[in-house]
Amino acid sequence: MLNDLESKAAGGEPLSRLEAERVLACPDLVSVGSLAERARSARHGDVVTYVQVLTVEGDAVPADVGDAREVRIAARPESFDAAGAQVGAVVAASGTVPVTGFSAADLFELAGGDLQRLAAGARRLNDAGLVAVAFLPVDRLDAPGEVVRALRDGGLQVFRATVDRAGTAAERLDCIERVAKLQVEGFALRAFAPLPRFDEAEVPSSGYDDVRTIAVARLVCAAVPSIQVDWTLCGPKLAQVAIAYGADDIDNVPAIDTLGLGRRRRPDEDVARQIVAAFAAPAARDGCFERIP
Amino acid sequence: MSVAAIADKLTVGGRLTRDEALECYLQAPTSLLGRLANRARQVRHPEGLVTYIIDRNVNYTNVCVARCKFCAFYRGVGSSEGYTLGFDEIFGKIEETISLGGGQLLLQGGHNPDIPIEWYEDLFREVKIRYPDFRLHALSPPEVIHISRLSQLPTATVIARLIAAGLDSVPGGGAEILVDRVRKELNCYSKATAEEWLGVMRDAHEAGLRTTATMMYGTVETLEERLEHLFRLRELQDETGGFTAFITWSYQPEHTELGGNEATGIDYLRTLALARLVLDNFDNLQASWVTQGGKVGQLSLAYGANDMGSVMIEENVVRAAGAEFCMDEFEVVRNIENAGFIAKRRNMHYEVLGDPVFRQRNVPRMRELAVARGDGRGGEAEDLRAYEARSAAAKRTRLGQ
Ligand code: SF4
Repeated sequence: MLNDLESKAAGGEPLSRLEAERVLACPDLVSVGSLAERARSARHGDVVTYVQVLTVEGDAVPADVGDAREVRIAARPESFDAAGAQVGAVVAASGTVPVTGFSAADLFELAGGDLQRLAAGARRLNDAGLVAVAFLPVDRLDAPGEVVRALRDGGLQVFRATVDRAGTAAERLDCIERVAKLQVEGFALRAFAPLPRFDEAEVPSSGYDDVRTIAVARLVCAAVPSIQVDWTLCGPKLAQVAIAYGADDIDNVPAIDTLGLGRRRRPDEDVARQIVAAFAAPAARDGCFERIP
Repeated sequence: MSVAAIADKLTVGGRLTRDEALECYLQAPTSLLGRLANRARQVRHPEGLVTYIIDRNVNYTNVCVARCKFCAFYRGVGSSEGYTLGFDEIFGKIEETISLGGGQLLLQGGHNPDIPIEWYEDLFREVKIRYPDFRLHALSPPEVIHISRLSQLPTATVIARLIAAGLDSVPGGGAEILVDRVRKELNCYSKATAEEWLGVMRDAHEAGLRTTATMMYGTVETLEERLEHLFRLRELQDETGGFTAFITWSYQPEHTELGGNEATGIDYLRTLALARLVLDNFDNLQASWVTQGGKVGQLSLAYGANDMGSVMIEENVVRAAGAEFCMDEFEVVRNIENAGFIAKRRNMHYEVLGDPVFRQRNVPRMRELAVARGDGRGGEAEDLRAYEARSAAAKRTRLGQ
């Protein structure tokens, strides 16, 4: 059904919108997966990376960062002053672990939609120790490239693109295309997490929707190195299955074993076990996408 | 034989041998297994229907003397958390099930030494008097064996008496892995050996009942033993043709004596796909969304499953071991249709009953599965006092001491 796309997938050539729509509509889900898996392995061989993240909600400061390789502030700040103060406290508590945080869309709103004010705000956060913005929700930004440029002008890294909300297949494909375009324009993103972070409560996305989205992201965003899936948001089972649909980076593996189920169930061991069971080789990385030896 | 040659053999309708099945599991990429299983499903179900049933999993007692190592549900005799439901509690659950469009209870429980066969007979008879069209899919083979031991009657006689009282079909629970080495290690050999489990199913089929078959994998079995289980089911199905469906799920380790890790999502999809290929004489394979979650549960439909199982309404056993997913009829149907299939309601015999109930009338949304007793109370219901107890603890309770 999708045989004609195989050479494109294997050769790292991006699919066109029409081709992507065909993949999204393809009833043969397994063929969708095998196409995307081909693209993934052409780019990464059998390596699947993962990162352990300590997520900091609200204005909290962590007492213990556990096994975190990234400390991520997932708050919506009241002001750049408040954000800077929180970053300073979190950085002090995180030792050498890179601290990322905030949504680029929230910061842009905080700057009143002004790119210069955004760059200045980014500079303050960077001075306080923030390494990168955690989320770049392409569905919430009219001109994500300009926002990325302003953030980088302020010294912050933008490693990855994300999606906040995209209910329909067409909306998801729009997001995927925006990221592909950003990359072609030279924004050098390291990763894209194409599954929406916020699901509709009444009609949540389905397993088919999610793995198709992962697969199409892999096939359309050929120039983006990594396609991410969120371990905590998706759960271990779907996150693992996503590897068979083109994901090569598992984001947001807990840094602290909150279940307290003992050594055999430690999150890093569990994620490594899941990756191996998906016929891949696990590799830990940090919040700056550097492999941990 | 190479995987490619095995795939060719399957494509022309050949039967897998044990060695070929093992080769497939070890060597075939997940995508190939999925594709072969999907093709096998399409051949059996070319009309593109995916079915489901509205029924309720009622666990009438959690008191159990079997003490399987993988079970987080049971309580010992005399435990303050042990419960046995009364007839009125069960009738209430039936009425609630009927109001949601359901027509069947899946009734299973622990091996409670203080429930004699007469209790089951009285219950079944009363259900049939009160709700004549309501079906009882009840008592897995180990429970039948337990009742047979308590009553000192052969299993065929137990089944005949229960049928006379109103039993409609037998669920395939308690199969775990049908290999005695595994059963001994899991401490479920004494509740039923592999041969005994199959023997009860043979008795049930010979008595004219249809049954399901299950497999709980991911504990201590080897891959060969997992496959042995499938082949033993295939052989009995060749002999009797009495199984309507096969359901597999992964062991849920939380709060169990055995502990350990749960098998992964990909392992589930591969096991399911392989089951579709080995069990070429089974019409129906169910998705286990209750253990895999709704999303991987839905993906099962691409790996050989043609049925979304039950809306369940209530679940106690896998919840006790850490799995807590809920899908009401609306969600089940949405997932089926989202995967490109036509959703149809069915009964236990896999006869299509019609379109979703919620499209015909207003049905309240169900956000979480009910439990055996909403208030978590232990203890046995009053009406058990009319029946003879065997354990000292129950004798004391029933005498009001
Ligand atoms: S699985 Fe069944 S038989 Fe085994 S301990 Fe649990 S309730 Fe008893």
